[in-house]
This record gives sequence, C-alpha cells and structure tokens, in this order.
Amino acid sequence: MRITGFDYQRVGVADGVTLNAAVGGSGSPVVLLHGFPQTHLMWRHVAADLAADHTVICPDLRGYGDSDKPAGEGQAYAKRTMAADIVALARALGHERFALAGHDRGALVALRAGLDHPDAISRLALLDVLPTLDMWDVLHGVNAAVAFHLYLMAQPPGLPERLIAGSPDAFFGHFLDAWVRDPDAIPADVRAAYLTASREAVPSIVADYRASATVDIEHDAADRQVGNRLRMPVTVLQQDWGAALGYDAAALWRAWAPDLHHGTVSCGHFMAEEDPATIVKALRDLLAR
Amino acid sequence: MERVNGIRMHYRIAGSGPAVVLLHGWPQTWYCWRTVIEPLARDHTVIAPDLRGYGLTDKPAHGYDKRTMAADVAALVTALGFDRVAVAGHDRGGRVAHRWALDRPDQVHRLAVLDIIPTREMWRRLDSGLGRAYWHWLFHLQPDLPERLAGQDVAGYLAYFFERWTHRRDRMEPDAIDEYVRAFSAPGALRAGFDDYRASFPADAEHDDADATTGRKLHAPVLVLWGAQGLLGSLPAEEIWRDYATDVTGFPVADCGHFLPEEQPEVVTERLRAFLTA
Repeated sequence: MRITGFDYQRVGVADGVTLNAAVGGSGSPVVLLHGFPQTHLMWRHVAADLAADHTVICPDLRGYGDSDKPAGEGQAYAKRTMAADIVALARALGHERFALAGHDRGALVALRAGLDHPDAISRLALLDVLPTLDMWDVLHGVNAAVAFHLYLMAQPPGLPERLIAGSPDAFFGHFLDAWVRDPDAIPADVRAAYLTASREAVPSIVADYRASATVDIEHDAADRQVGNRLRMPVTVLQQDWGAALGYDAAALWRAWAPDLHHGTVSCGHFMAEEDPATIVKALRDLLAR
Repeated sequence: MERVNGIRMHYRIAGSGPAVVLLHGWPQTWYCWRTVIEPLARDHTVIAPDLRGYGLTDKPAHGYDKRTMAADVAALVTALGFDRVAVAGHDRGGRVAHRWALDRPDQVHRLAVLDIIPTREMWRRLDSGLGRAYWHWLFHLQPDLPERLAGQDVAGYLAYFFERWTHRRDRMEPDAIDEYVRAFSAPGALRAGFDDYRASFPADAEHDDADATTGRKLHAPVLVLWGAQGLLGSLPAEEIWRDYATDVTGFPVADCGHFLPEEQPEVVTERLRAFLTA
C-alpha cells in the first residue's frame, strides 16, 4: 500500500542502510516518523493535507516497513542512529533544515534528532510517548502492566524474538486492537499492511525496543546530566496517560522542552488515523509558531 | 485424587506423623518436591498436591485468587483427616501458603515460604529494575495473549525459565523438565497457570491490602528461604517478611537459584526439618 499521490524513493542514509520514503507536495519540508507496530502509512491522512503547501517526507524507520533492517543490537537501533538516518535522508533530498513530527517509536527518534541535531530540526512534534528515561521512571507497580511489551522486548536476545515470531499477527495485532479507540480508523487493508510489515521485521523491532532498555537510556541520562534540552518550538500531544497513571506528563516534557505546547487528545493512541484533523491543526499551529 | 472445594485435586502423600503440606510453583507441579518428600516422610505425613489449574488437578475457569486456591488445600487436608498442618510453599505455592496461613490460622501452625516476598510487596516495589526481572508478571497478566504466544512452543517457553532462573542447572534434570512440559501442554494448563498470575491483580492485591489495612499479620512461626544466586538474592527478603509476620527466621540457600527444592533439596530438607521440629 502507498500514500496516494506520493512518490516513493529509496535513499541511502548510512553505510549499507537504505530507507523507503514517500515524498509528496511542495513547500517547506516536513518529515513524519511512524511508530509501532506500523509503517509510514499511518500518516496517509495527515500527509495528504500537509502536502497542499509543504514538501512532506514519510519514511519507514530503519528496521520497519520497506526500509532496510540491518542485523545487530545496541547502537544499530539506538535512537541516536535512527535519528541520524532521518537527518541524512532529509539532506539527501535537499533539506538541511526541516520540521519533524514523530508518533510513538518515531517520536523517540524525533526527540533524539532534536537533541542531537538542533541545527537541522526547526520544529518538533511528538505524539503519545514519554522520553525513554521518564517512561521507565513512571512505570511502577501494576501500572507497568500497560507496558508489558517494553519489559518483554528488554529481555536478552532469543525469547522475545521467538515468542513473537511464533504468533506475529497475534502479537502485533494485540496493540493495534488494544490501543485504538476508533477501530474504523485502521481499515482492514491498512491493518493487513501493518501486520505484513511487522511480521517481516520481528528481529529489528525487538532490537529497537531493546535499545530503549539499554543505550537509549544512557543517551537520555547523559543529556539530562549536562542539561541538553530541545531548543526549537515543541508540541507534544498525548492521551491522558498522566491522569490515569499518576504523573504530570506536561511537567516531564517541559524539563526537556522549554518552548512547549502540551495537549491531551480524546482519541486513542493512533491519533493520526483516529483524529487526523486535530493532528493536522496541531502541526499547522506548530509550523506557524 | 480427592474432590475438594468443587474440583478434583491430585496429590501425593507419603509417610506418617505430623502433617506437612508442600505447595509447588509455576511452571511446575507436585513433582518439584520429589527429592524432598522421601526424607521428610521418615517422620512426617507429607502431602504434595497439584494446585488448582496445575498438573493433574482440575483446571476450572475461575478461582485462581489465592483465597480460593488456599481454600482448596485447606479442604484437602481436612478431607485427609488433619486438623493442623505445617505448610511450605515455593513460588506461586508460597503465595497460596501465605494466604492460607492468614485466612486459617487455626489450621496452619507453621509456614515456610521459598523464594518469594509477599505479593503486595511485589506490586509496591515493582519499578523498572524489578519489572525487568519479573517481566513475566506483567506479561502473564495480559488476557489471552500469553496463551497465544507461549502456546506455539510450550517447551521453548518453559525452557527459558528453567535456564534463566536456575543456578545449579545440572540439578534440573531433563526428565523433570519433560514432566513439566507435559503438564503444561495439557488442555487448559497454560491458561490456568496464567490465570494464577492474573489473579494477583486486582483480586489477590485487594485481599492483601485489606489485611494490611486491618493490621492482620501472621503469628505462626515463618521460615523464609531464598536462593542466594536468584532474583531474591538482591532483595532484603527476611526484613520484608518481618512486616507481615511476628516470628520470622530467614536463610539464603547458597549455590542456588530460584528452584530451591530441586537445586538444593538436601539444604531445603534440613532447613524444613529443623523448622518443623523446633
């Protein structure tokens, strides 16, 4: 499946790693990064709208969709490495500086890009995540059960890959079903595309998550220690997890992003598909800030 | 087999003398006590059931809260003619034993818990560090998904725990692992074991919180054993239990991971014997 009206390109971004990217529209560049267990297709509604007056670039992240899935652990799927991919992708397409929005895993990559490449990222939108460091911090007691997959995929190589590969549709489908509030937002053909893509990406998806239990925490902690923060305007949109789980999500984010607009949405996790109008408005507001 | 509390319960019984009940954990059956039963049975009546949902015992759709599982074994010993018993429980069986001793102090006069802290403390202390070690608590709590994933390869799933949680891997014999894989390959067995975990929140947690609120503690003597090289080796297990019981003694078991009755059966037997005859 493809985003209607977008061109597809394969772009080399690192030694031996090529990303699949949908590119459409013209105007100032905006890069949109998908999450788990998805591909760039999740942006189909938002991308079509923004393409009216922007150049919109929707890659599959390293390890996901039709992008390359290099073998390896740790640095291979560190958010630092995946963020460098995105900066290299935009540069290869002629954009030294661009606005960046990410959802879920893509938001962790976008956050890391904002911290590591402040000159390249003009504006940053982050949908429905907490920074890795804070995420592990707020998971206490039975609240951690909502993030059981983080703990499963943090286990040493072997068991998580084997368990998931044995029933990939059950595993990935679980999240598509459990995290959506409006099931019609992910129609059958799109759901099938996500499941097919995820089925073929089990080792790299687990490696992405495992990196967030190891090297990504170290990178976040190092930034926290030296006071490295996001210098660009930032918009964060989340479900109301903070109220449900007992923490102040806006305060956690403000510690990373002094110039922050923080909002909660009433839809489920897959907000770019469940309520694209709200997401488009938030992105356009950010682009105009 | 004995029909108790609405289910058919399988148990092993050996020896004569004062009764001691041995309760296994997950992913195991009565069989984990196989090397402990015979020496203890020299001067005790040893009763080792398969808990509700495990082994050859029935696997009903409900009743995996520790209160019901404790009522099962309480009814079993009554049916076997014992008024007062000592209880030793390992892993999930330790949680059943803890609940049993709280609910039936008239029946349980001594309690040994092997390689656990109270369920309430698990939830209170579970942070990202403990959560990584006890990730299966969070996974097994999910509805349906664990059965789908683990059911593809029961042997592979159980092998992970028998490898990761043992220190003396040489003492977890392949025959024993085969026995457990057979038991958990039976229809409903995986589901029942996960239901045991699923009952830990909210059902067991509510029962435990209610006891904590009213100040109900254990007054029977409590023996706490844990594997020195296991997950509990890093927690102050004995101190934690002192908040839940008035008479606690605790010992690490050296050269041992989680599966104490199989990794160090001689030490477990001697500690239990000393505790039972003190």
